[in-house]
Amino acid sequence: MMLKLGLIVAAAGLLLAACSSGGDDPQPAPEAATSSAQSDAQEEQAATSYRAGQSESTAGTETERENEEAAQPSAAPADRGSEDTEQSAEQSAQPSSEQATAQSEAEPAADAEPEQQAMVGQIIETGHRAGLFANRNSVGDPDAAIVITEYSDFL
Amino acid sequence: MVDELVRTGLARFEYQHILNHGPPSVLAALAVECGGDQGRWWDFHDHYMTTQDFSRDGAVALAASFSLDTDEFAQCLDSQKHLDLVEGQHRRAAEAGINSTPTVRINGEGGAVSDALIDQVLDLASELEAEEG
Repeated sequence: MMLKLGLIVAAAGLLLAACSSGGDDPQPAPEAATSSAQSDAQEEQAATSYRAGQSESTAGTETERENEEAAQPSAAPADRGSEDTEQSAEQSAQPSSEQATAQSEAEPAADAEPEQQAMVGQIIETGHRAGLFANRNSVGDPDAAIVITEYSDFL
Repeated sequence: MVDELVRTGLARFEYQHILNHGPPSVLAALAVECGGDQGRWWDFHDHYMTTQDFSRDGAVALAASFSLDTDEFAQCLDSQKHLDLVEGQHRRAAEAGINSTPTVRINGEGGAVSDALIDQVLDLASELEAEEG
């Protein structure tokens, strides 16, 4: 009886020993290795993908930065260009507005004395204005060579 | 063209009264001359060229509208101060054979002068009168 129990315990021990040494079994080991390799690969892939993602995202970021940097210089001149254009437009607009203001300021005087300026020009050109007069029924130079006379009734 | 001729001193423009329509013509001519006493000869002339009111009160009201001394103007008009002047112009025109109005002479000779040219000179006359007034 005791011998049978000893054999059973020994067999169980052997079985346990056989089970514990099952890691040496090539079949389970490759699966474990495969799974671990797969997990490693997945981790590496994940890491790679993460790094790639990072690198991609970084690259993307860098690309975006490059694009932004590339865009900024190009945009800056464009902006500067537009600013310059706007400034030039403003500058070109300012003189026009100033001119408009000046014109608007000068307009009353210009409107008030256009004929007088023309008359001054004629005086300078002809020198006859000093002899002009408007007295009662006569207007012009008393010594003018041409006398135009209108005979008329008001009715 | 006439405007330029007058402005440059090459020509002088004159107006002579013709009294072909009796008292209204005389009143208008006298009113113009009385307006001339206060420096508004051409303004009165231009007014009577377009108005149909040839009454004394109308003339005084016109003087008031030009901010003239209406008492002086009325006295001038009522006393017929310039009657000899206007009748003299009419008489000399009749002696020159001028019977119809308006008649335009250039250096005493008849010529075709358009109304536009006359208006141009009249405007110039009013302008110069205003400048000197």
